[in-house]
Amino acid sequence: MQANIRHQVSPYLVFFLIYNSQVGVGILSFQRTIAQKAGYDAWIGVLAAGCLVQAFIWVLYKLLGKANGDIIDVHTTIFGNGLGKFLSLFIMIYYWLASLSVLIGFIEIIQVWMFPTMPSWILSMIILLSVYYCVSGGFRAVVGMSFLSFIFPQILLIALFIFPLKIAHFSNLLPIMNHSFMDLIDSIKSSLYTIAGTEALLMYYPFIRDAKASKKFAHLGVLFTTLLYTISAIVSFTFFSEKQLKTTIWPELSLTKTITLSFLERFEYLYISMYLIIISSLIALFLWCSSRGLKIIFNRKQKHTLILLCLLSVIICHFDGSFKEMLNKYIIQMNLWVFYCYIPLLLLVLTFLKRSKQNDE
Amino acid sequence: MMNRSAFCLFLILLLSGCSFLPTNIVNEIDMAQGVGYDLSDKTNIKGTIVFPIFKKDKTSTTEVRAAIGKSSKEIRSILNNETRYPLVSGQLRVALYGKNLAKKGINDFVDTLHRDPSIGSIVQMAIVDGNANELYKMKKYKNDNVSVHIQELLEQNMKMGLLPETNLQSFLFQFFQIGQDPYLPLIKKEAENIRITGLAIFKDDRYVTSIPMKDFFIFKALVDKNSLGLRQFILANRDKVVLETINSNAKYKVNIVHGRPEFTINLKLKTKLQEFAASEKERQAFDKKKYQKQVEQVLEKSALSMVSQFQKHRVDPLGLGAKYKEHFRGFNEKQWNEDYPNVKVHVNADVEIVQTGSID
Amino acid sequence: MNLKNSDKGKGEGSNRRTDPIWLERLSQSNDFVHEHTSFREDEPFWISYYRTLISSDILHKDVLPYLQEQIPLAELKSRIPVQEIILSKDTNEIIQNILNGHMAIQKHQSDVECLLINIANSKFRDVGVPNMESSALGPQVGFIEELDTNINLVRKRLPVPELHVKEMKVGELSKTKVAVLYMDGIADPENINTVIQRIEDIQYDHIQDSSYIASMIEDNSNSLFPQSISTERVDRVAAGLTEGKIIIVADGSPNLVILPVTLMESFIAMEDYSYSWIISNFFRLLRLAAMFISTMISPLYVAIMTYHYELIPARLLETLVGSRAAVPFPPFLEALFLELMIEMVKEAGIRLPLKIGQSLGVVGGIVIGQAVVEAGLTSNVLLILVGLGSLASYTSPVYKFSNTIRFIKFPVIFLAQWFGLLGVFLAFQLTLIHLLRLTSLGRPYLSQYPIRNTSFQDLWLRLPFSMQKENPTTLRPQKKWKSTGKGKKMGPANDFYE
Repeated sequence: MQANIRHQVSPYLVFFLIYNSQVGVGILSFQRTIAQKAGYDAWIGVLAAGCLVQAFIWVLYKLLGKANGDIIDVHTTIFGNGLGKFLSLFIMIYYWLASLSVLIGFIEIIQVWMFPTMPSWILSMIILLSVYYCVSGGFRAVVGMSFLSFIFPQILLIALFIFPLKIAHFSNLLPIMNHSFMDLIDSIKSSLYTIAGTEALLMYYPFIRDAKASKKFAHLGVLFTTLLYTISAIVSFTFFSEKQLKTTIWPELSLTKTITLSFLERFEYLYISMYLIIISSLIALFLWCSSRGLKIIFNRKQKHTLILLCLLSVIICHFDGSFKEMLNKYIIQMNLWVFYCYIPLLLLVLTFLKRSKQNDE
Repeated sequence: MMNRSAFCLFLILLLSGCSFLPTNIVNEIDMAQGVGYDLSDKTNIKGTIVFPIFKKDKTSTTEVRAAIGKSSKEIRSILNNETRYPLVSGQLRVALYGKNLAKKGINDFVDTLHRDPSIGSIVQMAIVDGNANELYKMKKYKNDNVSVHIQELLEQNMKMGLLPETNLQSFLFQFFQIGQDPYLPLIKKEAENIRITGLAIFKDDRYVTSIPMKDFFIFKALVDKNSLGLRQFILANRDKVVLETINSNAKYKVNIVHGRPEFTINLKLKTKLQEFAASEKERQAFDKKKYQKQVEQVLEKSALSMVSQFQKHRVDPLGLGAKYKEHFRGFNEKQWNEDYPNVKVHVNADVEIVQTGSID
Repeated sequence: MNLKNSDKGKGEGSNRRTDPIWLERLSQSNDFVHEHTSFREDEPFWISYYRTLISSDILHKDVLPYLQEQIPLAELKSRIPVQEIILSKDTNEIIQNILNGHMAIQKHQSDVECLLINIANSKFRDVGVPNMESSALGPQVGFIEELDTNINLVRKRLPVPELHVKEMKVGELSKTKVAVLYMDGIADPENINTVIQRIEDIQYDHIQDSSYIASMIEDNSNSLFPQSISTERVDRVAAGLTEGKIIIVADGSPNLVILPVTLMESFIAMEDYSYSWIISNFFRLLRLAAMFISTMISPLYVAIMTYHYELIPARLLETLVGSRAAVPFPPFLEALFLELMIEMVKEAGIRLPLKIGQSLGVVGGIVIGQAVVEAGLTSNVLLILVGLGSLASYTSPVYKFSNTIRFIKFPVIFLAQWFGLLGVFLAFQLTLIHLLRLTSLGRPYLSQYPIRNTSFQDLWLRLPFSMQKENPTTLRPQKKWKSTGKGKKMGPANDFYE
């Protein structure tokens, strides 16, 4: 099922969508998690994970191209209407949980770094209100935010990498490949979740004009984010000594602390505030996917499903504590199993189905 | 329409609820710009907090307050009882530690600087040969901002002078780095002035030894990339040569001989002749080759004696262990600590005098 | 003058036969004249007109001399040397034309048929210099309050048959003549139809200015951003037409409305094309920067001074805190107070009579500002920032947009007070989303997205003319190329001039 041509977007915008879906709060803290076991070789793990995601993109395009629609169409073709929608429901819940984990992560950063006493519900409310405003503008507005969040804050924030290079200790990375293969696998596993997000393609695929042509932009997008993550990992590794990194929760922010200009110091405050735009566009994309999926599954208005999801998010943000850790743990597992095991299987089944259908004819 | 007005009402309610966010209005806080810690007695610490008081159309004055307590935040809360506005630490510029305290370890005090997100990582740290409190309390700086004075004193010496680059970030980096020990500037109150007198070398977070001013040149060349600086060499036949570095580069090479590391430091210096006084009184052209050779010898000798001093105290500010770890996969920290005092270190200096000024 | 009193004539007529309806309706006003041209009953020409609408000069010189002989109206029509003469029986048409300054000539008082001669007195100011959009270089012609003159000015610049004009009457009471101008073969027919349709749908008593129409046909009337440009510059209109834009002209308004537009067009001055492209790019970016300064500078002050003292470098600390040391209010109130004061001075400057306004604006600004700082109610740093910001808001060459900028900083100040830097960026984000959702005639308003090749040629930047070859694609123009030297570079090829 293809979307109306009026609502479709140009293929090149897939680059920004992919970038936006992959870059979230993870980039501020992943350096520490991946270095947990693989030490300063972990950047190799990021590159390897990037290659895996490239393969995943290939699978997604094959799958969606065959079904010529979104994941719900894929499911209903294979499993029929009822079961297909039931299975799609899980993916919609995943999208929502992913947006929620980003939201919770960002709120935590704001509370630690800027406003320790600001209640979570106010923060989640103001973020979700602007997200609602964005999503209610339709897919065009969502893509627009992805695009603008790349143009405006991200390019600027990448430029900040130049400052710490002055005091970088590149020899920190030596000796390369000093960790066991298993340690590297572990760093790949933890990188995979940080650079996850491409799965949103499962929902917005029908909204891309000339979707086949957009494939190269999707690959380019993944390449860009992989490089961004790798460079960010390397910059942090050369800036912190290994034990120091392991004590630092948000290396990226600690890193920007050193930047001083004659009119401005302490860039991390500006950094976090600007990150609001990146975070909001990411949440908007995921909530758009989720609310659209629910709309199709339950045959409701997207407005209602979106409001429901936002309200649920605000309520959950209000209850802090063990839920957040649990959420992160589950969502990492879910991401790994659903998207790296289940989706390729789905492709196999679909190929098989189509072939047998052709043979019948 | 109903929807919209409900939304607006909700927004107003939401926003009016936010005014309880605590504010830090700049003229209603006391911004600590310098802190100092001294050993008061066996268990207690004397903490000093310095903050400026700004007046309209007048230069600011400095307030120095001290209290005795067990931890830095306890000291701050004690001092809060006697300040007009709440004390905040987001503008911290300098942290000073008394030598006696530093001998016992400063980790507890660095931890809070590291942990508090409102404190930047370009805070300058220094060890005071004497008492940090006295240094801050100097009368001369009552109407000057003493913390900014110390910060700028240290920074200009790091940038243009002989002091190697240090700050909170570099201290933490070296402190956590395996096979390296941190170093910080050593300052002293001398004749109503604040002077840099040496470089304090730490073992973990404990002050162990210091190196004097005259070794700064070679030390900075060994640890900093592109260090600038001026040094006078008095050579064998009492010729005086003053050189200024334009460009320096130290390369550490590790060789493993019989299972033990051997270090070769190749130091390349591009310098500019600043002053030359030959022992013979008659004016002669500067013989580049001859003096380059002699200067190299002097540098190598002083570098080696400095390294042997480090080895004697079992401290490793040059990060030889870290270099060893980079080149040897089977690095073992314990083994290295045992080996360190007897490790062989060679220094090859390569001094090139590229400019002799406007005369030769 | 051998004219009878109108009342008398009317009285005589009504005794014998019934008057036509239009005469009945129009004669209620005292400035309506209904007379007989001669004493002789056998040459009965009845003339009627509004005394206040016609030019008696034309009446006496060009019309009355021909009314001495008795001839049929049709012949009279070909004799009288006035351009616009209509023979009509339609009551509505007659009323309309008389109300627009025609005179009616009847054979007999009771005749429905009459000859309508345009002898309207059009007293308008001369075509002059554009007041609100002045420029140092470029044409100095501005539109005036008359529709025909305005269209004439445009036609002179584009003497091609493709320039089409569609006229309409809008307003139940004002019956304002509105014309839609577009270039046939360039402008997107969909846009043209939308504009004409929307103007025809307008149901409103009076249209005093083209801005009425502009805001009535806007896509989103709740937006702060003007989705059309009102201009009094002829060159802007002509350039817009050639790119496929649609122009709305309303009689009685010196401002023409350009549709559809994008955000960046509010930063384009026609003067840009008079300079080297490098210089004009600099100015264009300067205006963009000025918008950011104007909207962000006092909110940033509030945010930093209230929450983020950490951001201030040590050397700036003394200046900033020292200047605020004695101020009793929080930065939020201080900024709000000063901003409102400046806006008040500006507003008063506009409303006051010209001569007083000028002196008061300057005196008010300086004296009050100085006094406020002296009294210690605000810091002088903020005074500088607010002054800079209010100056910067006027760099936009589009006046309506300057007012948007003037207004928009107030909500941002509030957000800065509530959420600090986060609030400033929240405001920025909300504005971005709003702009993304905004359309002008269904075309995206935010030209930055989606990116179009042509936006680099002449929108965000202005490349040299040899590189501005395409018409902006956001307008879906029917004609793709601006320059006929399609792919080739214009001018001599530089091969070291061999």
